[in-house]
Amino acid sequence: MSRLLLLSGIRYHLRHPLQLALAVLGVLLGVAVVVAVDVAAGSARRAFLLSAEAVSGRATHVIRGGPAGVPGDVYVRLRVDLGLDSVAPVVDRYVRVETAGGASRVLRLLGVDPFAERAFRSYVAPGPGQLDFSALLARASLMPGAATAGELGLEPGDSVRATTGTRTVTALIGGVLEPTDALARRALADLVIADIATAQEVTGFRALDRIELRVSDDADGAAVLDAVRGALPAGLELLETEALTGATVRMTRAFETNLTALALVALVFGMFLIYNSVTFSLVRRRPLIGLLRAQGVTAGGVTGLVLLEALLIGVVATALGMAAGVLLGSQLVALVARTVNDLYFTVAVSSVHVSGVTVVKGAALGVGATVAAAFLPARAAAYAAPRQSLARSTLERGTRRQARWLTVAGAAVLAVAVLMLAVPSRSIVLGFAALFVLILAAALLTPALTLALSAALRPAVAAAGPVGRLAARSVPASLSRTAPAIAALSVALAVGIAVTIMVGSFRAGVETWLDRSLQADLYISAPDFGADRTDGVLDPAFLEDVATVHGVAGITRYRHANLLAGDDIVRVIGVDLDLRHYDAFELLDGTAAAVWRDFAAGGVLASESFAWRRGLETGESVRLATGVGPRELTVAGVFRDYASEQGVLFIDGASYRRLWPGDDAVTNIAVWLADGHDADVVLARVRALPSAGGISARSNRGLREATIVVFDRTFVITGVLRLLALIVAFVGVTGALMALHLERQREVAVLRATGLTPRQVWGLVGAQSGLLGFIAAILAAPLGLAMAWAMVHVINRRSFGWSFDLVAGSTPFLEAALVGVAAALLAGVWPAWRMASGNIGAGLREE
Amino acid sequence: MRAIHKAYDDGTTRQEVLAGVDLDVRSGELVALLGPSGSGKSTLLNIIAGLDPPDSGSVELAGQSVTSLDERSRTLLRRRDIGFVFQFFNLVPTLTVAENVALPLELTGSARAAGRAAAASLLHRVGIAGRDDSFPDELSGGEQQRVAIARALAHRPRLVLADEPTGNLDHATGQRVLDLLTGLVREFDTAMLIATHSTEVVARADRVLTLRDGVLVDTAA
Repeated sequence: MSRLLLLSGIRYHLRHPLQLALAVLGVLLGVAVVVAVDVAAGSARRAFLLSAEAVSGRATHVIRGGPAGVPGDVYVRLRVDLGLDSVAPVVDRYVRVETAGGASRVLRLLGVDPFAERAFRSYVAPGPGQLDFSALLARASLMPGAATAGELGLEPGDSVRATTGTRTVTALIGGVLEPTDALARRALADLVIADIATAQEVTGFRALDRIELRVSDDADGAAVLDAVRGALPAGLELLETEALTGATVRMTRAFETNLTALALVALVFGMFLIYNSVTFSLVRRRPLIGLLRAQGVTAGGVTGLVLLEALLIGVVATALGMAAGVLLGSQLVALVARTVNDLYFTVAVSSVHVSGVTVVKGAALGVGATVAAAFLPARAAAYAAPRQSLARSTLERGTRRQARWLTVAGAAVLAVAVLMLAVPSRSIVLGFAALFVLILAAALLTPALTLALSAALRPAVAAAGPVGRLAARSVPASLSRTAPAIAALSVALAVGIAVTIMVGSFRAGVETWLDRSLQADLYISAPDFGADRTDGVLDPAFLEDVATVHGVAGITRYRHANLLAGDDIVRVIGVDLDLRHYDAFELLDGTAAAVWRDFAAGGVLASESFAWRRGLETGESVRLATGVGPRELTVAGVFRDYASEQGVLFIDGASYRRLWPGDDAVTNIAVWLADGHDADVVLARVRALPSAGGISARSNRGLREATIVVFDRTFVITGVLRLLALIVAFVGVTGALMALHLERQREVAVLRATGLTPRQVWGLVGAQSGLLGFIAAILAAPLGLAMAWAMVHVINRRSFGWSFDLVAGSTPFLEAALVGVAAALLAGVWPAWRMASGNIGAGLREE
Repeated sequence: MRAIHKAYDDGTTRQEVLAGVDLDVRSGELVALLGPSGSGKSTLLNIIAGLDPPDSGSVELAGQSVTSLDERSRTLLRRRDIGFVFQFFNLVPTLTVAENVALPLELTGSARAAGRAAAASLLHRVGIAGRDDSFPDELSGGEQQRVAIARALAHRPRLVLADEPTGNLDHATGQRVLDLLTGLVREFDTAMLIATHSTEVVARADRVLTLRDGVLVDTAA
């Protein structure tokens, strides 16, 4: 590569700073959005893993029970009968800690046996500046980390109120933990430590949540595990620690994939911007390239020069984009964490984490996308015959000829997209790939459709006079410029249409589902401190009291429990259902009579997402670890449910008690009112019960509204990403239109010399831009609808296992048309101003 | 035009190209404008047409002061009274040959049909009949310049400004284009100021002026 050649290229870009800025901005924004999503999702994941790692310490295995937990005597047996050293009992629950001053926070209460801790958690082990054993063993003594204590203004000796479920007890701050290592400090950020007896007293939970083991990874270890397995009573499971955290983290996989796909859309627009900018710079330099070629620079040399320029732009833009992405990610992380907390598991993200993978991914995408986008125009320009590269009409005729081939290719690609969507697969990645192929097909069809549409629209625009005719003519005449701009704008608008329709359809589905499934008048549960928690148990005394409240006609009791089914966490709900509940379930499979008969006989009712994940149908069976050991349960039916992405299994109350003997806890109740009673009045009476404690109680309407609030909150991040993609697309279209108009500067100067007034120049540019925007909006409609269909029936289905009907009104399309025309008009303002007010003589001289 | 001054400033040096130019062109008169490259011939034409503003001085066309009009009125005056022929043809690439010729007519408000008819007849006159629907870059240089002449004269302007109209053509083609241009200008009784290096132009001119050191010098009559 000649230094002079490169210098001429760099100087060209520096002399056209606006074009350069747009290209840099395109890649910058694209990379920033991808990096931001990665940083946000990665930070949430890492926060969870770190806290899981810190909490589980050096444990290699855990023994878990069902909803009733692990009986304390199992621990004794492992220690005494098997003589194991490295075992530790743990109670692990969420409590709300409230200070005398009124400050409160939900903290993870870790109840431990300090004498067993040495092998597991360094920060609980005794030592200087660490744990004061006697203080911890004192009655009702809690020990928060120094940071938490500082935040809540707690000192040793202070008393606090600790609430779990409907139970509130008074506890003392026995001391404050100040570990020296960073990991432990981070773990303690949302932890409070107590002796196991204290934890049981505070939570009212008489068993253990788990027993941790530390086993060497060799034959001795395997022998220990075998011995432990042999000693475990039915209903307890021995699991690897990593498998457990893995199951939790896996829950968010589909959510993260969806975010990443949306981010990639932004990058695709960024690529368009680069393509456009490189093409434009080459068009302007066509005579120079002809000259270079005539002087003996090879075609490969020209391609190399252009690619090297693109590489430089890509590197600068990517570096800036990554910095912007980390900033943006630190903003998005709150949104991601909120959704993870709403839907998946409890996580507190205290720091933004940028992983090496994120950096490599961002760099590869940014630089790779830039070079890839520059490759085709670079080759085309380099291989054009020198004389030919001077004629604009050669390019346009070529584009029109290409339009025919592109149409054929577009039809073929469209067929591939349809096939990809039709493949009976469960792969989310394949679904998104199909979506991108669909977008590609639309882009390939754009030149031909632009020609057809501008021919159809010409009479209407031409009616506006000579300026209108000029505008109508310019769109097809500069197809090589207008088609990419229209393609980019229409794809951006189509993404908007598709996401709006998808979210709207989903919302409509959820509303219908809520109407149907919420049939009781009041819904009451122990306060839930996170999406994955089912610790909160309603006080039996409270249950008795509710039944006596004036206006209450009946109560349905639910036992919610999170269990491992295979590799996934699933929620099992035990409930006594009778006729009045049946209507609440929209059965998707089998006849109602058979379903309810099998349910009563001990079968499970599986939510749609659960059945989808495992490919289950009515009549097949599902394996569950129950309190009496693993059992195969028949699927009595499949019902529509949007409550949990992981899936829900309903099981008859009698069957539940048989499978988990001794667990008669109640976590939720539905209250039916006698006729003529107002829900809010009765709700107030229930809340006023002395046994009510910190219950979470909502009327039918309140729960409905709260559910919709969570739904809308979930899609806030989708909305933000969509907006970012639209911004990138807008910058892209602005750049394309500016290039288009600036390229015509000389032509407009001729028109001005011939007698076009400044106002007519405004009219001309406005009409051209408006026409572009309008054509893009028309093309966006079918693409948006097709993408919405794919999102509803393929992406959502595969991501979450949910099905719902596509509901499409005219609003998203009208919005898209408005946005499209407005964006195009806005993009024309600067070029119009420049052309209308610019010096005509200079414009004529410019070559 | 009276006492026209124009200087270009490239940031470091200031170069005065027109240093008090006075010029009168009578109706129907053909004036040749000579001068070395860069002497300011194009600038002078642009100032007359109101495309470039002079630094000082005044230009009057058909009784109207070009230099004191606002941009819109200047454009309307140009649209009505001036036709341009450029060295590099400068046809609108996205319009067909016939549309290029009809453009000034349409801009001055002629009916489309009338514009098309006038364009067809002019194209016939300049010998491009039958290529009405071609695009400019499908024509040879000589053909493009003939279209440009038709466009310059389509609306029967009072003044044609020609900026080296044969500068980009071979000798024989240039000769034919020049015949056509001068013939039509004479026929329509239009005044023409023609910047040129060509001796053929000088031979046909009523008056020959040379731009030297920023002022016009009468060379021959």
